[in-house]
Amino acid sequence: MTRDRSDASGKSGSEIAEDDDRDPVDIAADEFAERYRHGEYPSVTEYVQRFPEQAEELKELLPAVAMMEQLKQKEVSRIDSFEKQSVISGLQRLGDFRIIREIGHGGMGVVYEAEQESLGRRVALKVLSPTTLDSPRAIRRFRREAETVARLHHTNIVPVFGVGDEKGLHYYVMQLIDGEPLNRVVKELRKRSEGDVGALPRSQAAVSAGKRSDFATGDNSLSQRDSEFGNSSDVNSEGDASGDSYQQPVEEVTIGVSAVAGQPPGSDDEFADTVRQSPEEIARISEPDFAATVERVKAEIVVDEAESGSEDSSVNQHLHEGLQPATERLSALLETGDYWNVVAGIGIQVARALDYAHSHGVWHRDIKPSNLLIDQSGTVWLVDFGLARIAEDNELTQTGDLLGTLRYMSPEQVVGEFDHRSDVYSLGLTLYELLTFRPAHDASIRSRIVQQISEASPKSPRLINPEIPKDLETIVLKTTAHAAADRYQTAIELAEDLQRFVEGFPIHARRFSAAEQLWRWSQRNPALAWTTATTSILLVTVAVVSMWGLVTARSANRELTEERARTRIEAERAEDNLHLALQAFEEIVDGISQRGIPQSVQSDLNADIETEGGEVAEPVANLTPTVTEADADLLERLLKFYLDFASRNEASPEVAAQTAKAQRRVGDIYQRLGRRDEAIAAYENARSQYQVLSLRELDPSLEEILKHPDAPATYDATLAVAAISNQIRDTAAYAGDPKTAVAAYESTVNYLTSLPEGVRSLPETRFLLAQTKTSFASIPIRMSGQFGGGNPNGFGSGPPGSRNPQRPADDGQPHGNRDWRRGEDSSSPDGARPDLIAGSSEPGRRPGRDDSRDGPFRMRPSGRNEGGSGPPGGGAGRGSHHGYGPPMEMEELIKNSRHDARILLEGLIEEDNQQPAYQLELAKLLLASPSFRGRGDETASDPLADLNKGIAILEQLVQDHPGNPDYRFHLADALAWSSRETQRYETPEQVAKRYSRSIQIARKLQRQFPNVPEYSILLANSLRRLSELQGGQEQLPRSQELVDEAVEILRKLTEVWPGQMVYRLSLARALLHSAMLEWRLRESELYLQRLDEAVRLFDHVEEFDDRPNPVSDMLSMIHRRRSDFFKRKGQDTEAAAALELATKLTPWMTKGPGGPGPDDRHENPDFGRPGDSERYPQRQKPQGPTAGRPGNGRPDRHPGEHQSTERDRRERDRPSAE
Amino acid sequence: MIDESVTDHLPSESPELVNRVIRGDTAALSELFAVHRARLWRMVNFRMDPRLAGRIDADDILQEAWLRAIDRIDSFLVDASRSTFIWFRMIVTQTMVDLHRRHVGAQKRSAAKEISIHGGWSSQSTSVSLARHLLGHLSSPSNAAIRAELSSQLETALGTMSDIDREVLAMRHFEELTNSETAQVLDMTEQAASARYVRALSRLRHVLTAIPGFLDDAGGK
Repeated sequence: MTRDRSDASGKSGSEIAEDDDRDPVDIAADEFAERYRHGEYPSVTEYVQRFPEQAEELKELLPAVAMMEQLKQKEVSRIDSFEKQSVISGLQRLGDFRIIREIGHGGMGVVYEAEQESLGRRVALKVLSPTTLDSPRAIRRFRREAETVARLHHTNIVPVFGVGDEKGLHYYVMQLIDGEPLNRVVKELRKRSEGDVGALPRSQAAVSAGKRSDFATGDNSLSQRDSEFGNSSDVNSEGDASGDSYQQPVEEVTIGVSAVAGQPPGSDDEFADTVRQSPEEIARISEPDFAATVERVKAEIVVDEAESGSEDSSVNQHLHEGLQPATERLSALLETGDYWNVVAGIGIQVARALDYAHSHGVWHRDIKPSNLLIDQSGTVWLVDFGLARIAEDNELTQTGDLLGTLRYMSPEQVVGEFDHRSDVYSLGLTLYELLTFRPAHDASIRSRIVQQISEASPKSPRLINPEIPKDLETIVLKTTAHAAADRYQTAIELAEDLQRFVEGFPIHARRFSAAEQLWRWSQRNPALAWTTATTSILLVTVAVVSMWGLVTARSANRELTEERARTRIEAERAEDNLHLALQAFEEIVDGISQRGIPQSVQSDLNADIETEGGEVAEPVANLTPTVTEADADLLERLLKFYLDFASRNEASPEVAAQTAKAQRRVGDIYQRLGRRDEAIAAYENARSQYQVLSLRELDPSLEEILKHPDAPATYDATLAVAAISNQIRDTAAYAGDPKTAVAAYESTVNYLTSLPEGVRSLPETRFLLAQTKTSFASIPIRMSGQFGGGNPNGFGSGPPGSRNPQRPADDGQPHGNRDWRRGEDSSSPDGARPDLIAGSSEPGRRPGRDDSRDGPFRMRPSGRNEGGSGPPGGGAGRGSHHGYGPPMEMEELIKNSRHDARILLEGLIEEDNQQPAYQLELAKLLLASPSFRGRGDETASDPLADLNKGIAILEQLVQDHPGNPDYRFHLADALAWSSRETQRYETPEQVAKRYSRSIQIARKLQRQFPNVPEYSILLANSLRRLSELQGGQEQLPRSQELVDEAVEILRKLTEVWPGQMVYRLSLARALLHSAMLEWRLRESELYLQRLDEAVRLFDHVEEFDDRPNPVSDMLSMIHRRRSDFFKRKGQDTEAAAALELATKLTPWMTKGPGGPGPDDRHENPDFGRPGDSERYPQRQKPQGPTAGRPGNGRPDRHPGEHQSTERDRRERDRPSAE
Repeated sequence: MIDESVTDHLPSESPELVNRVIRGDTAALSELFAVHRARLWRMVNFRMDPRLAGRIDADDILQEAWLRAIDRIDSFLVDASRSTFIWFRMIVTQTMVDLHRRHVGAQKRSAAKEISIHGGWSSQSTSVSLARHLLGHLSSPSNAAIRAELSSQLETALGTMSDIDREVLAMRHFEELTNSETAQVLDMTEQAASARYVRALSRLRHVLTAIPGFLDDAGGK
């Protein structure tokens, strides 16, 4: 032996000599370590006594030695036990147990249904994987825990019969429960609620007068409701007068397969009786001579949670594979509204079981849906008591099922502390999930979950579903309070409060005031010492604002000053928490940015402006900020914070990255506030800061860099540079600055493509490039006209000089892109109407950001001009649209970028077809592309191919991710939106079908998320469109129904979002249509009422822009209708007044009583689609080209108006003045 | 397996065996290698880049090292004069570096750099290995939760220790070198190595205490 191990065991002479040189602590530590290596667990105290002179040092150091040595053993044994791992799966028999089938498996082992042959009973047998118990200590612990748990006897705790080992495999025997784990139930319910509007939980109020659920009522025995809960014949609660109504006599609970009323799998029946167990038997098994019993029984139960890795991969299979009666029942209850009581009832059962266990000194430690089984009778069973603890020392277990476990951990548990209140917390999260169908902490990355747990209280359930009773929400929020002291202090308190809820008594839990909430938040985020005092106040205020809204924040602010001193004292981990705060703010900003306007709505509204105005107005999305005033206020506050933060210019790279990010956020906020120049400046600033951090600035040998520890951060910065360039491009595009936009685009592309190969080929990089190209390819749709001149209003407008004071003098192309587009369009092979071709724009892109729809209608003004009364020179536009340089270059550029994007995306999808982001992007690209049809594009042969493929992708996404509302939204939007595209190829029935489908999806979304305005506006818009499609006389009532629903929705929206002009415009639009229907159906006075309501929508607008804008345009149109109406009634004065109002509002339009230019457009061949009248015979004589002249007394109506332009429709809708 | 004391059961390194090796007896070399195999395996396991896991395992490396040792049997007399274990360790180290380079690429562990310092490993790689193994300690679900956060803290903390401190700890505990072997590898006196070890322990202790939830669970019991 070359080693001086002999130090430990007895010193040889030579080694003693050697030892003289050594530090005595070394010698002691060496021996200590040596003994560890031999499997001993020497105590530190022993060494402290043996080496008194080194006592202090040893006390200090030996734990570190022990740690290192333990650690090493684990490493070694792990490798060994991998070999055993495979043994467990595929077991046929284990001792007395004949394995029947595998029920599930998890990180700790495999759960079998087994027959214990000596007793002829079925049990659940959990065989722990060898890696779970990797040391004698772990085995001892496992046995001890199991022993403790076996002493628990409670209705809601799965009885543990015992533990044993056989062939080196350790197992755990439990009663076999026929039930569903709640995680599966939740999953199923979620699926159903998404698939079926009717299944959404309804308010308790709606049913409170009615029956209470049996699950919930403490008073009602389960058996009394047999009829409702199926067979519970052997569950008799009569004997239960003792108080706890859930405490059913043991012999009757017996569960097992026998209790199954529904459809037990065939073979189970014969075992039904044997599975039962007398209380005596249970007592015998689990009482004192446990060890002996184990010998005899040797096997037992199991019911496992089987979450392996990802939460959804639950493999739990308890007896029933197919139909799950418990789920069925709950699902049915969802519809009655009793569901809330059911959830409360589940909570009561579990809380009582926990209280019982806690009072016996046992903590569950792993409460989560998959550890709760619900059986046929509605009884909930807790499994795996204390088992989590066994796995605690084991490294392997953390790989698999930890994530599922982690999600339900309490904040204190995450940092390694635990008490009974932690169990209560986890139960709270479980109830939360039962209420909302989603985990409270829903991140999928471990570190992010940890962050969610430790930093944030769960989102209020009612924000997810407002139907959830407020009291129940309060209870759940209290249960899941961040600080243990704020929770129910015992499980029984929770049970009692839930009971109060079920019985309709006032609950004890109360909500935190804003100030309390603020204080709690600031305690959790003691970032504040690090920042300046002002910033810190702002920081906290902002956080509160985000939680409680501006109003409550004001009162909170006062209290803040008091707290500040304390807050600052607390600030120890300041920087870390600041990052978290930053992250929270980002979520706020992102949340605000989410609000926007569906594509299909925008395209409709924008179409309006152009057709009516003759000039292209600023797009709706631009005119109407998509932030509410409250949001704007919040953004301003955040802006201050970010500006302050960004100005700090900290040196550390970490902070520098944060600063760059803050700068970028500043840009985002400016952008959202409509301050675009400032936005661009901020973005550019952020970009240059990121550039410093990015790969470009580092050593060009990227191979090296990528292996550098900082590589991910650097890479992030690199992508950020490109992403910011995209933002600059978009912002510039809005601001009508095409040159900046194009430059930004090109710089992004150059930047990304000139990255070194190693980086460029990463999927993230390629995806970003594809996104860049996709969105650029969509740009011309929203700013095509602008490339000629850099003037937001300059594109496609009338004749030179007519109305474009801002058009730069050097712009020699008066007709801008309108002309080149038009040229292209009009040369389309099938002679299709250009507006329908180009009108597609891009469906899926960020709602609220796109102007879109400029192109298609741009040529119409010339049509109008040709009609006669247009401004001089209007006609010239028609002939002069070919051959302009910039547009053609643009076109080339766009075509290429689309082509590239498609190749990139298809490549990415081929590599990874599981990535929904790729699919979505491709769908967007495909849906955007029809605007380029007819330009010799390869897709021209089948104009609808791309469109349909895009929709097919979205359909697939929706099918694969039924839980993702975003995909459904995109699909509904695309369907509505593409109808414009398809209507020239399809029959009205087919088009109506698309709208109906869109309505169907949107309606579900809207019901599910009534607070998301996008869903409502999308639904309303599709309803109105479909209503407009139903043009035939016999369809009118249906048409009116549809538009009435739209009006209702929009009225609500405008109430909730008074600042949103788009919603007002949409409502005005729907009212116009509704008015028209009134007229056609009844010639009713309601006509005028509707119009007046529409007028009032814009009462608050004080000044009207004299340039084309949607509001003036809409209002003008309404007044014209009013004028027509008055005239018809013979009220000439009123008629004249209304007309004057109308003309004043739209000075850019041609004047002339009753004969605004646009009317003449009917003469324009562009609009007189040949197929039009044949396909959709008009109910009455078509309105002639003389609109504005006295008509025929009734509003003329094209039943097929959907097929014509918006403008046509409006003209026709108008009751002609008589 | 987990036989911590393989060397106890195996023929120890008798002078006779060493003499046979010096005479070029490869069977003797094989026997000798077996004497040290357990600790060499441990060393490999400790030092191996996790990215290699699944592609090659410790046994592969030892196998290859063994072949190299046979190639170098002629230099045994000179190179292994002080300790045959150290000689084997050096060969295994070189083998590992080569394999790393082959499999992972040259970037992270530059062979030249690593070999030159402290008996074979760059301070960085030791630090990373240490952190990785120390983190392995935090294995309960709850502890594992903070692992991610701790990992960088720990590496930073370990970074505050000197290279030699880290090496000493790695050798004494993870490779299970004796004090005299450690001294030899690091080329210092045994007295210095011992003092160094105690100091390193104390630093480690200090470092770990600063990280919440580390030692409380860790050692003591």
